Amino acid sequence: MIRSINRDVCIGCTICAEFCPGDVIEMDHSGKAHIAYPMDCWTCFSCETACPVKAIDVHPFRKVKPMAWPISSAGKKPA
Amino acid sequence: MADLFGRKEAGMKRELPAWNVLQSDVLIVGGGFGGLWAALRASACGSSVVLVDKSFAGKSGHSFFASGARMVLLPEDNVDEYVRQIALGNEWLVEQDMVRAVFEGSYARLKDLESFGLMFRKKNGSYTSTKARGTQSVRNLWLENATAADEVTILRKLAISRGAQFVDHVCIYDLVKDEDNGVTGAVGIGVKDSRNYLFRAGSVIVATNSGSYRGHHLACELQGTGPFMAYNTGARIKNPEFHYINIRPVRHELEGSGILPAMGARWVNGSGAYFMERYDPELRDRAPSSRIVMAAAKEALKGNVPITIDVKSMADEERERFRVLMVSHGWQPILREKCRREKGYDILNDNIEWQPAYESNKLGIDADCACKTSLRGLFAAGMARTLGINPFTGWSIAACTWSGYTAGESAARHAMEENENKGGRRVDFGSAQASHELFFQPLRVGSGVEPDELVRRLQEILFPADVLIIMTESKLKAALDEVLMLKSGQLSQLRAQGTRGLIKARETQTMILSAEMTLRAALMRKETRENIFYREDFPAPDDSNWLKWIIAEKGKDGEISYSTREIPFETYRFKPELRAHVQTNCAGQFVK
Repeated sequence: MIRSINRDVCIGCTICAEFCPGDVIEMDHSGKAHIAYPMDCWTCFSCETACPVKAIDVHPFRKVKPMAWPISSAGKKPA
Repeated sequence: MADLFGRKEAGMKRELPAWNVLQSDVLIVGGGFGGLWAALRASACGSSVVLVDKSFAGKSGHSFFASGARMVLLPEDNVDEYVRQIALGNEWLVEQDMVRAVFEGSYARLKDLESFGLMFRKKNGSYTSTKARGTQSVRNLWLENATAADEVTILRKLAISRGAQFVDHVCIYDLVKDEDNGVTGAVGIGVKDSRNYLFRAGSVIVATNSGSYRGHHLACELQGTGPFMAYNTGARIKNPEFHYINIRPVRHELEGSGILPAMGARWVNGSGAYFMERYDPELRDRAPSSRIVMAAAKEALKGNVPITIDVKSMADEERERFRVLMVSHGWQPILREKCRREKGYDILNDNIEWQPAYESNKLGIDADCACKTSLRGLFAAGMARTLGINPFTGWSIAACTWSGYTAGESAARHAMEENENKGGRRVDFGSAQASHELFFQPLRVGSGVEPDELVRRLQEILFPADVLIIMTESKLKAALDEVLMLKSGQLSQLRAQGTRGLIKARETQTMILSAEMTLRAALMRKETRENIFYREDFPAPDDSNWLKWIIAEKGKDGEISYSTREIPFETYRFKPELRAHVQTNCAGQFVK
């Protein structure tokens, strides 16, 4: 999940906000990128790889683990 | 005007929105391989083109993140053999004429891509290929020093240079028609600017994905809004009972569930056993993904979790091959480095946990080999058009490329005819207005349920291993009952704040409809088809009753209406009599 955008480094180019497939980044009033909807981040690293000044840091995990593996009848969920 | 579920909204205030109107010969919804090829082709045919994407066309959806492998029929290959293998892998439930068309066009598209500056891997002047998983000999070709991300980026630039207008960050939420019931446009909302958009066009191509339930990392935003707005407008949906569940790393994205075992990695259960030996003694860890998913599900139902993939057993040179193929480009090296630095493990050297994850629906808009739907003016491309069921490696890019190219050409021709016959396109503003009102309805719900909450509830219903992976009548019915309770109860309480909330609300409505459609259709198909559909209570194929397609469309009462359609084998080269032969070859029956 997107973790931080360094405001001091951000040059306001808007590339991250343009490219983010989940539209989770917006430009703030001072023209800097900020994380508007962190929980919707896909963790795809598009912003981090596209940022020309390396201002963005994406954590490799999502905050909420995707729910994909609960077992209804066994009642046991993996750790 | 009724909503997606046929309910009529009464007494709503009619505010006339200020439409931002854009006109073109061809309107394309979705900017993946399907939409981009459609834009290129329709432009080349002389049409004015507008392509709309919910985020940034070419960088959203699935295409940008694809491995880049694609099936190609080289001039020395036998098209009949390829059609046979794809038909076989789809248990005969695939349009053989469509498959043939995909392959017959594939070499020309390869040459197009080379002329655009993309190169494919070669050795001594000949293309090098890998065998597509799930087939006996169909080739996958790979880009040289480039990825699918580079490819879509180039396609976007080219389409723009040929005059196509790209409208990014606009979410289309409904199609609009003219007075004669032909599709002549779409309505959307600006994701960033919240403006109301009305697109008027001679032809409309829906080129989105098929849909999902935010099941895992990169499938998290495939909502299926494309096929379902077509459904809502009167188009038919084919293959509603099928879905693609793959196996994925639990904590982060990593492609390679098929390639890793081919390179020597092995699946391990919670007891430390290589369990695939028991489920498929012949292919073992190299079995098709559907079989691995089912085996993993059965292990988990017995409590044998977590499921991991043993990469330590790979030879060093295989690990290096995997690194070059899958972890040397795009975001994957960053992921590897961060996992190493922050979490203390290496995705190439340490065994990590994997789990089955709902990847996407396999339903799609029913269309012919010209990608024309049953609605005048509406065309379908990409995964929004049914392109078969078996997720062979390399099939998706090949089929999306074909469908985009084909739909682009058909839509251009239709737009030209419309211009000549009718002197332009008309939009029924009343229908646009009604769509707009329904879309904005969740804004007016004061206290209610948030879209994210409802999606989470839907995931709890659909994702357990014994619902859609190992299917039985009792579990499918129980899940359907719960979905219907969401539909009759919480759906009307769905509330939204702002544009983003409205889009999520529409996506949630779509997902609930999609779940209902899939569960009902899965209950209808009382049989098992190897590798594509597993009903534990009907474990054998039933060719006499089920060698046919299920079609869903919106009934007059607003509810889903189902029918079945015979497969026109009399016009196909291959008949399903080959089954016995195939079953023996595939071996690997499930062992309880």
